[in-house]
Amino acid sequence: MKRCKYHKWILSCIEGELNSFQQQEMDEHLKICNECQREYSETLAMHQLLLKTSVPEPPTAVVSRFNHEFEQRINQRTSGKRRFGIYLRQVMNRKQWVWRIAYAAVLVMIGIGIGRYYLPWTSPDSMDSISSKSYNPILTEYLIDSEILLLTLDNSSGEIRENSIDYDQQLAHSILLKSRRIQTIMEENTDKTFIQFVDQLEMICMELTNRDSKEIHSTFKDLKEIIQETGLIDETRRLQKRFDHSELSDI
Amino acid sequence: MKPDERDEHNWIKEAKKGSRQAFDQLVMLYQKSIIALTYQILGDYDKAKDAAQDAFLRAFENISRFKEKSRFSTWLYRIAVNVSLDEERRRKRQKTDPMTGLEIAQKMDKSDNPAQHYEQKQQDKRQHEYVLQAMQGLSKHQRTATVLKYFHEKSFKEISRILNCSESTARTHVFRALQNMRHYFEDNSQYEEM
Repeated sequence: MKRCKYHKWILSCIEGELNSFQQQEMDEHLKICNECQREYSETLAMHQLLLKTSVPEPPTAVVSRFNHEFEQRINQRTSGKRRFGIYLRQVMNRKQWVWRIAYAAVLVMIGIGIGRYYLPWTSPDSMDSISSKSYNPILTEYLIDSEILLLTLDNSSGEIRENSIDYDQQLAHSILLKSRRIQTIMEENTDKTFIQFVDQLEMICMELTNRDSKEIHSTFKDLKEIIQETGLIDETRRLQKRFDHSELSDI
Repeated sequence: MKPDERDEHNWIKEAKKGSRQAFDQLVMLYQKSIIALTYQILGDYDKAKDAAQDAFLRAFENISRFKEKSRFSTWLYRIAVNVSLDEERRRKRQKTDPMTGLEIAQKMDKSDNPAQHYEQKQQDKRQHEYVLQAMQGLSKHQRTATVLKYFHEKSFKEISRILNCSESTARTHVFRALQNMRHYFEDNSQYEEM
C-alpha cells in the first residue's frame, strides 16, 4: 500500500519539530486521513511509553567488577613496550603535520646525499676533475709542442734548411700564444715549477721568432746550449709524466 | 562553560597528553552510561561489562586522535556502539539464544542486593526489561538509534554522528523501531499491562 507523503512527518510532528506551516498542513491532513491518524496515535503511544520508561543504573556489583577488571586490563596494556607503543602513537597522532614535515625533510636529505655521491656534477671531486679535464688538452698540447721544439733545437747542427726554420718559428709562435694562457692558469694555482718552465720556454720561443734569417743559425746554436744547460727537455718530460699522473689535479 | 564541562574539558586535554589520571576521571564520569548503553544493545550485563571495557581501552589508545570537533560523549558513544555491534555480530555467528524478559529480570535480581529493592524500582526495572526485550526484535541500527534517543537523550544529529548516517536515516530508524515495537507488544499483549 502506497504511503502518503505525510507519513514521514509523523515523528517530527510528535517531536514538535515541524514549522508552523508544516504543522498546520499536518493537522489538516490528520483530520481527513485515517491511515495517518492511526499511525500517529500508535507512534505517539510508543513514544510516550519510551519517554516514561526510566533507565536504571547498572547494578553496583557490575560497576565494581567493571572497575576492578578495567584497572587490570589497562595496566597490562600500558606496561613496558606497550606503554611505549601507546605513548609513541599518542605523540605521533598529536601533531601529525610536524611528523609529515620531518619525514619529508629526511627524504629530501637522503635524496641529496645520494645525489652528491652518484651524480657526476654534484660530487666534490668531480668539480676539480672537470676543471682539470677542461685544461688537459691545452696543457698536453703545450708540453708536446714544447718537447718537439726543444728536441729540434737540440738536434740542430751545421746548416739548417729554410723550411725547417720556418716550421720551428711557427711552432715557437704557437707555443708563445699558448704560454700566455698557461701562465695565467699556473699563476692561479701557484705551481712555481711549471711557471718557471713556461718562462724559460717563452724566452726561447721569443728568441727564435725575433731573429732574422741571417742570425738564425747562431740563434739555434745559442739556444741549443741553453737547452742542454738547463735540461729543459727532461723537464718537459717530467712535467708530462706529472700531468699524466694527475698531480696537477688542482688545475 | 559550566564548571562540570570545564573539568571535563581539562581532563580531555590532559588525557590527550597521556595523563592516566585524567583518563580515569573520564572513565568515572561515563562508566555507568556506557555500561548501560552496551547492556541495552547486548542484553547481558557480563557482555556489556566486557564491551564497555573494550570501548574505554580503545578510547584510551586513540584519545590523541580526538579532534574535539564533536562532543567527547558522542565520540565515546560511537566507540561503544561499534564495539557492541561487533560483539553482537560475533554472538549471532555463535547462535546463542537471546534471553527472555523473565530470565533477564531473574538474573538481575540475583546480581543485586534484594534489600535495596523498592516496589516502584522493581516495577520500573521490569518495564525497562520488557521494553528491552521488545527491542531485541529490531534491527541493530533501529535498536541502537532508539536506545540512544530515549535512554541516553541524544539528538538525531548526535545519533547520526554516532551511527555514521544521515539525520533523516536516524529518524527513519527510530520511527520504524516504534512501529515494530508496537507490533511486538500487540502480539505479546504486554503493552496493556504498562
